[in-house]
Parts: sequence; structure tokens; C-alpha cells
Amino acid sequence: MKKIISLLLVLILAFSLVACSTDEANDGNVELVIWEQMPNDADLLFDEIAEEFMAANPNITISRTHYETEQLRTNFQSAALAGEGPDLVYGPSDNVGIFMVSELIQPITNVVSLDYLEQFAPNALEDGKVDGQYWELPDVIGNQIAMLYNKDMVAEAPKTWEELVEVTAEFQDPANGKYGFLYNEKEPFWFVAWFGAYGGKVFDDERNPQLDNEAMVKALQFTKDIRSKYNLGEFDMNYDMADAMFKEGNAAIILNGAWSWSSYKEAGINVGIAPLPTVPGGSNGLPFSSTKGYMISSFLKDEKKEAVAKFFEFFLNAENDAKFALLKAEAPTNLEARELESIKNDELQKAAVETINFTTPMPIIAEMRAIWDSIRPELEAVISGDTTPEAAAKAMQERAIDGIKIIKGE
Amino acid sequence: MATLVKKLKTINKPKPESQLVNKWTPAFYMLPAMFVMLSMVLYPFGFGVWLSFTNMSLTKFFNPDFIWFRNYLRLFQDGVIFSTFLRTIIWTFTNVFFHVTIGLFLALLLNRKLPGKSILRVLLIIPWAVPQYISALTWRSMFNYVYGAINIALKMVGLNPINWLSDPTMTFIGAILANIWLGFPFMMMIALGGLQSIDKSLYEAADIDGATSLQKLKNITLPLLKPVMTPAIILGTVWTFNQINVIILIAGGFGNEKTQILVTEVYRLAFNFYRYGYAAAYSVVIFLMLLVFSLIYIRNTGIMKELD
Repeated sequence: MKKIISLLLVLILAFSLVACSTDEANDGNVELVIWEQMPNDADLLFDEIAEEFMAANPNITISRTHYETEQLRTNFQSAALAGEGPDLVYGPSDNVGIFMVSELIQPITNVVSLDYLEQFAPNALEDGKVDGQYWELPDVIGNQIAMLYNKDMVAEAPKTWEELVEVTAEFQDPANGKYGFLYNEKEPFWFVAWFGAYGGKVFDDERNPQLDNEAMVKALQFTKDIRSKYNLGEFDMNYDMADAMFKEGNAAIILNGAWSWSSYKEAGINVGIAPLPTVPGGSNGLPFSSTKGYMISSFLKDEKKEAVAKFFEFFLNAENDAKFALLKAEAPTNLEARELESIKNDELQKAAVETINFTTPMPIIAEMRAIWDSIRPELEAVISGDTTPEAAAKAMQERAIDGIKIIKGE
Repeated sequence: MATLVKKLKTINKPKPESQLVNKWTPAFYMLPAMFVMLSMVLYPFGFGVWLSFTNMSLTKFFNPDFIWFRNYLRLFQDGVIFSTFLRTIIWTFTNVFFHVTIGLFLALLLNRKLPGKSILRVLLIIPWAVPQYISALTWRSMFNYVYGAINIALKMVGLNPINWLSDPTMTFIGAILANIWLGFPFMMMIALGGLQSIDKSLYEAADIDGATSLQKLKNITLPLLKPVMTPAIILGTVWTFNQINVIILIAGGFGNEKTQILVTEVYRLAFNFYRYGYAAAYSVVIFLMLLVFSLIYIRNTGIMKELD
């Protein structure tokens, strides 16, 4: 019996030793742990810049772990529950609302001054602002959908829907797999562009959903009309198929996001990028834009604050910010970076800056989840003819209200 | 365990050096496994149960209140759980039924003399060997209205194409089809293993008595397969009941509640709506359902008797 007890004690001791050894010694060296959700090429660039940074700041080590969007969120939440996790999190701004409400992150002004923030584009900073505080330091702004046209088929970007119908009609021949105009019609992220074109906003100023209105009915009707009235598009079209059709030169015009633009150039398509056209009886299609950036964990130790400020100054200086922006046709947030030759002379960057003016910032509050979940099934039902736009708009609003109650835990 | 200890004791009794091996020895050997069980299973389980009594959510992330049974009450008041439960039963029953019948049928075929048997066997295991993710996404593409293989095939034989991905009922049926395809190889492998362990002399004896092949199947093959198939069916039921990937991948997300089963609903509540406490209560109810099912099944088939 004694033997077992002593053995147990040894085991426990051994485990606690293992646990202790991960605590870092306090010798002025700081390790910054960052969890990021970057595409592969941005990862490589990050590592390059991190090497330079660590050479310039020998007492700071940066360790980077990559996660996919959902995993980053859930892992950060569970690590934070145990009072652990990374010092910095990098990802899309729609995480801000969730992390902020559950007190996982702290305002960036706890580490950097308001003066420092003045060098960044105000609309980008605004995207990470909730309750009067800045929760995210964005390095790029974009993610917007734009109209992509094959210049070999359509010489000039149509400005209105009528123009679009006119120039694309000759290419529409679904029986032979050829299309004038195609897009991912069932995806709410694309659909909200039409909603915005008719003046719709998903939230009012008090964060209440406003989906049951004329703008929604018109947007749903327009989505239906694209196929039934204008004979464009295709039923059950999805992202990959629209993408493939355009890359193969079988579609004259598609709608796709900033993340995809460079891939069409690589595929050898003579692609033009323009804002969405105006819709009948409305303004230009108004897709969402959003930022990506750094958030600071609530558990950041005080002795690391200085290192974080240094990190920001280095990674978000004009030169480095421009490098990140150039990877994915997203506009840099550092205003000085926008003046650099490398940005000014880049075709995709020009398109990014031009089309960003025809976007609206995507709400980052946690309630947005309920909006997406309420639009999707009703939009699908309208497309397949199972419901009318009026009934769908009403049902969306009810779903959204229920969903928000659920999120708030009411 | 008690019997095991007793057995060890009787074995060791005559030996004089038995001081090294006493009644705690087996316990000692089990210690590492127990440690892993406690930390990896019991603790998270207990945490989950505790969570189900709290109102942990996005706004109550660090300091949730203890609210006793309110989550459970709400669960049954909401009522969605009943239709979801019914859908889960349909999902589980149809899937496991076809997994077992198709698997058994193919195993019986493969157990005979058959030309090109080894190639056939490899082909039939492929659905199982390909990562689920890839198969499910492939199925999703096959369900596409215009360019999907299934609708093209339907059109070729003169039928109307089906709107698989926009109509929730059809999406659900599509997910069942995909999951049947994914699941039968496992049952086939298990059944094949069972078949090969059946003594050939039994069939020879039956042949002498003039039994038909149906009689042989009914009186020899199936009863002797039972001990192998019962645990596989329990496992299959629990796996299918808890199958989250296929439904999510085929339906393309959590959007439509008419395609959800209980576990996908829990996932949606926990990770889309961040209602951790409520989702935990949901999970506990699902656990109880599966526990009751397993107990009844084990009792009725008497499968665990030998282990007592």
C-alpha cells in the first residue's frame, strides 16, 4: 500500500514538474504568441518579417500558430477559459464582436496611443470599433465582392443592370454550358449586395434586425428576376462552379470577392474588375467589406505590452503593411502605404481601392450570426419557388429576432 | 475486476515470493489507464454536466450563473427537440439498417468463390478509406441541380431532375444516401470477419441433412454472426446518431433547421449561437438517450453476459 502511495506522489510530482517547466524564466526575454488565420502566402511573408523583427529586437521571440477561422475562434475561447492562450490573435473583424462581448480581448488603446492610430484609414479603424473602443488594429481592408468581366467578351464594364443584360445576353447559352452572367445566388454574402442596393441595412442603430421591409422584398424579387425575367444566371449555381466557368472562359461576367481576383489573372483570363452595376430601381450593388487585423488578449501580461507595441510598429509600418496588402488585392490600412509606388502601380490594388467605395462595412457584432442564419433558408426557398419574397422577408425577420434572443441568452 | 484479483491471488498463492505480487498489483498495473480515463473522459464529462446547469453564453462567458434545471425545462418547452429527435431516429434507423443489410449481403458474396474477389474487396472498401470530408463534398457536387451526376442520370432515364440542395427534405434524403454509401464497408468488413470464423463443418453437416441455402443462412450463418454483429451495430448506431460531418457538408452549413439532427443542432447552438449551457443540457439528454438504448440492446441480446 505504501509503495502505491509513494508512487502516486512521484507521479503527481512529475506532472507538476512538467507543468512548471513551461513557465518562462523572467530574464527580460519576451515571447509573443500569436494565433493567426492567414492564407498560406501571408504566413510565409509573416515569417520573413518576423525574422527581421527578431533580428532587430533580440529579446523578443515571435511564435506563430496557424488556425482556420472556426478553430481559431473555438480554441481561443477554450484556452481563455483556462486563463491561457495567445497574446495576439489575427483574423477577420467579425470575430471582434464575439471576443469583445465575452471579454476575451482588450481595447488596443491599452497598448498603443490614439496618436499612433492616426496613421491608419479611419473607416478601417471604425470597423473594429464597438461601444466607443477600438478592439482591433486592422492591417488590410477588403473582402468585398466586385463584378469581374472577361475583357475578351465584354469590352467595357456595364454600369447599370440594363447595360449588363444587353452586353451579356448573346453569351447566355446554358444548354452548351455558356453563360453571360453567373453568381453564387444562394449565398447570403452575395445576396446582401442587392439588399444594400435597394437601401436595406441589416441592423438599425439600436442593433435590431430590419429585414422585413421593401428593400428586402425588392432584393429577393430581383434575385428571382435574374433568371426568370432576364434569362441570366443558372439554378443551383455554387461558388466553385461559377469560379470554374469564369476561369474556363465560359462565363462573361461573374461576381466574386477580392480574395479570388488574382487567381483569374493566374488562370490567364483577361479580367476586368469593377463595382457591381446599379440594379433596376436601385443604386449600385452594395456588398459588405471588412477588415482583418490584430486583437489583444485580455490575458496579456503587463511586461509584454511594450513588445506588442513594437510588434505593431514594425508589422504595420507603411512598407510591411503594403507587402501584406499586395498579396490579396486588399487595400492597406496604413495611409502612408497607400502612397507607395508598389501599391499605386498595382492593377489589383487599384481595383481594390476603387471598388471599396461601393461597399458598406459588415456589422461585427455577435448578432450578425443570426442575420446570416435567417437569410439563408428563406433565400433558398424564394429561389426554389417555395415561398414569395413578401413571406420570406417576414420569416427572415422572425428568425433573426429569435436568433438574437438565443445569442443573448434571453 | 474483483474476480480478476481473485484469480490472480489463486494463481500466486503457492509461491513464496508473493510479497512482490499482492492484491493491489492489478490495480497498480491499471493505474496509468485509470489516470487517462479520469482525466480524458470523466473530467470532461463531469464538466459537461456541470455546464448544463449553468447559463454560460457569450455574455456570461467567464462567470456563468448556476440555474439548476432551467436549461432542461426550456429544452422541452421549445419543442424543436421533438421533431429533431424524430428526424434523428429516421436518420439513424435508415442508415444502420442499410449499412447492415448491404454490408451483410456483400460479405456473403465475398465469402463465396468469386472471380476477382481481391479487387472487388478493395473497391468495396474505398468509400470507407477515402476521407469522409472528400466523399461528402463529392456527393454534394453530385447533387447539384444542373451539373450533378445524379440529376444527369435521372434525366437520361427520362425522369425529372430533383432539387436536392434547396429542398430541405430532399437534402436530408440526400445526406442519408451519402451516409449509407459511406457506412456499409465497415459492416461488410466486420461481417466478413465473422463469416470466415464460422466452422465449415457446420455447413457440411447441414448439407448432409439436406438443408437449403436459406435454412443454412437462417440457422447457421445469422446466429453465429450475432456475437460479432451486435457490438458493431451498437457502435454503428452510436456513430450514426452522432454523425455531424455528413449532414453539415451535404447541407452546406447549419442554416436550415429542417435538415438538422440532434448533434448538429447541439453544434449549432454551441458554436454558432454560443449558448454553451443550453447546448450542454442538450448533450446530456442525447447521452441519456444513447445510454438507455445501449442498455436495452445489451440486455435483450445478452451480448455482455460472457464478460461477467
